[in-house]
Amino acid sequence: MDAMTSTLAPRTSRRSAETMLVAFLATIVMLFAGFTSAFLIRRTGSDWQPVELPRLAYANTLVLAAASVLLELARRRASPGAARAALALGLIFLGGQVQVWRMLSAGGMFLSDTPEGAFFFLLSAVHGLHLVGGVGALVWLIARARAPRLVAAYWHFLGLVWLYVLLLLHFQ
Amino acid sequence: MSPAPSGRPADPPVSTASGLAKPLAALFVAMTILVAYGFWAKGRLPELASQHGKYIDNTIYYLLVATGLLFLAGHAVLTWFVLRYAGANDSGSPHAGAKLEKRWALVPVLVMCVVAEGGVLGIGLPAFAEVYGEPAADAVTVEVVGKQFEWIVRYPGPDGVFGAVDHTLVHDVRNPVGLDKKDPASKDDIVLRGQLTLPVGRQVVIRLRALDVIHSFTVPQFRVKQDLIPGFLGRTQFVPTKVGQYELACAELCGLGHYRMRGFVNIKEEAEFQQWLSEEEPWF
Amino acid sequence: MVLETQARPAGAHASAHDHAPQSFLRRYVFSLDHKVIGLQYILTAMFMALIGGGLSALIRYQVAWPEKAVVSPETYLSVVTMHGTIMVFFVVSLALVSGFGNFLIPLQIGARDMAYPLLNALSYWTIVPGCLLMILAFFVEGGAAAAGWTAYPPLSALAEAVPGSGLGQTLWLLAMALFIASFTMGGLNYITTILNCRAKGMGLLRMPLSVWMFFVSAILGVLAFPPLTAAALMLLGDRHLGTSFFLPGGMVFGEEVLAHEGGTPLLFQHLFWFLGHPEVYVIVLPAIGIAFDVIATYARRPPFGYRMSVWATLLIAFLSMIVWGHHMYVSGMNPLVGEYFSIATVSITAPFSILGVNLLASLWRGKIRFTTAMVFALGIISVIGLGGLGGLYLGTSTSDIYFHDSYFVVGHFHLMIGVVTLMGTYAACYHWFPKMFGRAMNERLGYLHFALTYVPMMAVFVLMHYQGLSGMLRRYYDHSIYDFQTVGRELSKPISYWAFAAFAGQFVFLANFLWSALRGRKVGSNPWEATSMEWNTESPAPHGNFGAADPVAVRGPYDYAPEGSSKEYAPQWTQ
Repeated sequence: MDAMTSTLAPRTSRRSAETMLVAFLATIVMLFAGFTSAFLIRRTGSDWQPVELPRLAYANTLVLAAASVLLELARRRASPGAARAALALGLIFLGGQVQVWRMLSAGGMFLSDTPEGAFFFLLSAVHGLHLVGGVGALVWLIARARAPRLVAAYWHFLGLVWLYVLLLLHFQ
Repeated sequence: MSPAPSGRPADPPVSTASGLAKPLAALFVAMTILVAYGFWAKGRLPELASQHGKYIDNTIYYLLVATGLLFLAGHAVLTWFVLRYAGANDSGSPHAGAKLEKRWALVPVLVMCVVAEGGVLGIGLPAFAEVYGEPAADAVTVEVVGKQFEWIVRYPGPDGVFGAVDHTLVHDVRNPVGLDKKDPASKDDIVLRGQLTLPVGRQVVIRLRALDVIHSFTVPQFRVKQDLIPGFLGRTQFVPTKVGQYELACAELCGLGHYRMRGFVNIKEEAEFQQWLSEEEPWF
Repeated sequence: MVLETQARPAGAHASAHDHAPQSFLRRYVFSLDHKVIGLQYILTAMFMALIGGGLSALIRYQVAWPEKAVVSPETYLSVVTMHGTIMVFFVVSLALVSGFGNFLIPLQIGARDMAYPLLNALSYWTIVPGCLLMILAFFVEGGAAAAGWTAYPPLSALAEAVPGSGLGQTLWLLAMALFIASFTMGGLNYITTILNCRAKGMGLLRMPLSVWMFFVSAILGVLAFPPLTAAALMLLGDRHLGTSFFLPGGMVFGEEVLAHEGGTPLLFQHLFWFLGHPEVYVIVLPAIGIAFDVIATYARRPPFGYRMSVWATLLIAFLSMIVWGHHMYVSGMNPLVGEYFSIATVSITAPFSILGVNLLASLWRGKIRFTTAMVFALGIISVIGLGGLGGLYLGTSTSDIYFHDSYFVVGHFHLMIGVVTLMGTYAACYHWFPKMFGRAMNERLGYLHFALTYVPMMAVFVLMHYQGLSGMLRRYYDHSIYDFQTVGRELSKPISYWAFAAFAGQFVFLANFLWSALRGRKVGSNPWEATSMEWNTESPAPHGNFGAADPVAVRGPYDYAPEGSSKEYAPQWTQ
């Protein structure tokens, strides 16, 4: 964050980054809150049919959880290896998501086929896009040999969001 | 006071331009008078032709008086302050103290609670309940279907049941609402374009459907307005109180012809209405 | 030089931010300096205002002389849609929140720049393609979006419903996505800067009310926009990916029944207005904050009820997020829900009127200097004192049955988010011009500008209230088809003449602004004898804002007529 916070003293710079992250997380919460209310209302539609999500979607959650654990390691032990491993897992997760989409599409349960499929795509795509941002930030940190702190928190948060999305779609 | 000036002479003192006080005050007074006069002269609601409409009109008149007084009071104070405190004056210390500030915060809160919230709860909501309450047992039920850019009216016929509709059967000329012939209840349904005929003095319940985009059923003289949402069966109800012909307009942007979606509502005496209804041919 | 951004000697700003003299591009185009970025926003808003204002002239011409058919019905709907969209987001929000927010916040809190200057520049350069897309939309097949700035589906989702819902609506959605991204970046930056970068001694309750308003506006915005983002994404899905979030089954166009199934048009309305209602406070609160600052300076006394105003503003912000349904009373929403929304909406009048009373009371026992900025601030009190009351007719669900979609609504919202915000922007321009350019705007032209703004605009929008009372409906290409709109129509021509006058009057401001920037009377660091921190530096404010030493706030921001002192005013920074 050097170039961005060059007008600030180091302690202010640290606090600013934290404020920024918290505020940004609040906007993401509101985004998924909007989707949630849409989901709850759309569920009452005449054509609602529950969609069974592929096992891969659930397995993918473990991938993301593992990435979070590794990021915690990277943060506490300043381990570059852990950070790189977390990055790899993040990319595997994203790849997994695309695979899940293909599976749903092949099963006729995607986007324009069913409303729940449409929600799954939308929610997982929006989540995935945010994770791409997280991946980018992690790459940037690794390139500068810096331990993840706020980026780790961001990844943990996105992991929780993904869990939320999965449970929301599972328990309808 | 200011950091090192760059060799420029000090700024001149800010002119009070207090010569502007009187013209500005006059402007505010003129504006207040003109606005108030305008509401008095031009603030005419159209004639009232429905029963519940009087509640709506009462709400509006109440607000006109209440907000009118607040408007006059606020501008009177503004004008007074502009004149009294222009430029240098001997009015004393402007420091109010926390108590006075709290008290003057309480004043608008109390005023608004009484005027605004009191108006809503006391005058407004009972009327809202009447508009959306349970319909009377002897109400006439009609269906109005909105489409780009006209109103199609359907009566259930002597069996009192609206026949089933299927939108795949919709044809602009042959079957504008998509009546399904297979349903026996459809046989006596009456379908008309742009003409809604109703009896005076009896409650009317109007089912509202839309074929394409959102429309909105409004007749200003009845103080009625209700959206027609595609995919939903909406409802509005009122009691017409005056015989005559009224115009039906669309009140939700629906495309290029939104401005010319004109229909007619004909209010007849009960006997005439029954006569008319018996003479109408069913659609099929 | 327009803005002082020369490199300073090493000790000039107390941070590790030294650089060699920069090229023209780095200094004035891709600058990271919040003052340059703020000015870029303001100038962009002015450009978009010419377009938005031109569109309004077209609307008034068509409405008053429908027989001339100066535009086709398709074009008319695009004009109406884009006028609203451009004005709300790309003019008012851009100038007030992004423009003046950026320019003022660091100066007023005693910081050297925003917490994240690069992010700041990025937020501006994100809005530029947004503006371009909005303009481009007029030239694509089918024309610009034509479903109203509210973009309700199904009208906005289907090209068969109206031509503008083809490519035009897609461009609209993309431009809005860029706007939301830009606003979010900016809003996060404001929040972070205000919470973390205040000067020593500048507690939150020592910030000027303008900063408080920008702060609350930013919080409101970043919390309220995301559901609209969600709605926009779902609308894009319905339009391009065959989904049915908002589109029900059985829609018929021509002989064709569309394949959608199960969606709810009302869902979009809920999501849209969840943003839509807070949005009006996002843009009106800064205007009110600016009014407080200006009134304090030229009435030579602190604003009445500073703390109460802060609490009232926080309450307004909270309440504004739970009242959106008052835009949907006749939509078919459950009536009980409507009753709740009515009670909640009308409760906002309480804290809002606290702000109104405090603005007025800030004149009490003042020693008023009638500068142009002050005259505009006084005008703001007048307009709020009228337009705000009109809100009661619409917030009360019963009367709203009659007024929904009528010209009463149009008159009301223009007074509040058009005239109040515009006058707030102008007051800010006249007042802070010295900090931008080291010069003052011409006062006489300013008074003329005020007269040509306040009088015609009040005329236009008050007359529209009368039209609404008579039952005249909005978004109509031609009202003459209906007998019941004859009474209202009598006022259409006078409204249009006044509107043309108002539009013309703004060129007085434009000329004054541009001419004064180059040749206006030069002034020093504190020409208005003000007390807040932004006046603790040269005019124009230099790169790095303050001198070598970091500024320190020794007292509150409005110590005019300080008690127990013979001084007429005590600036925030002097010992």
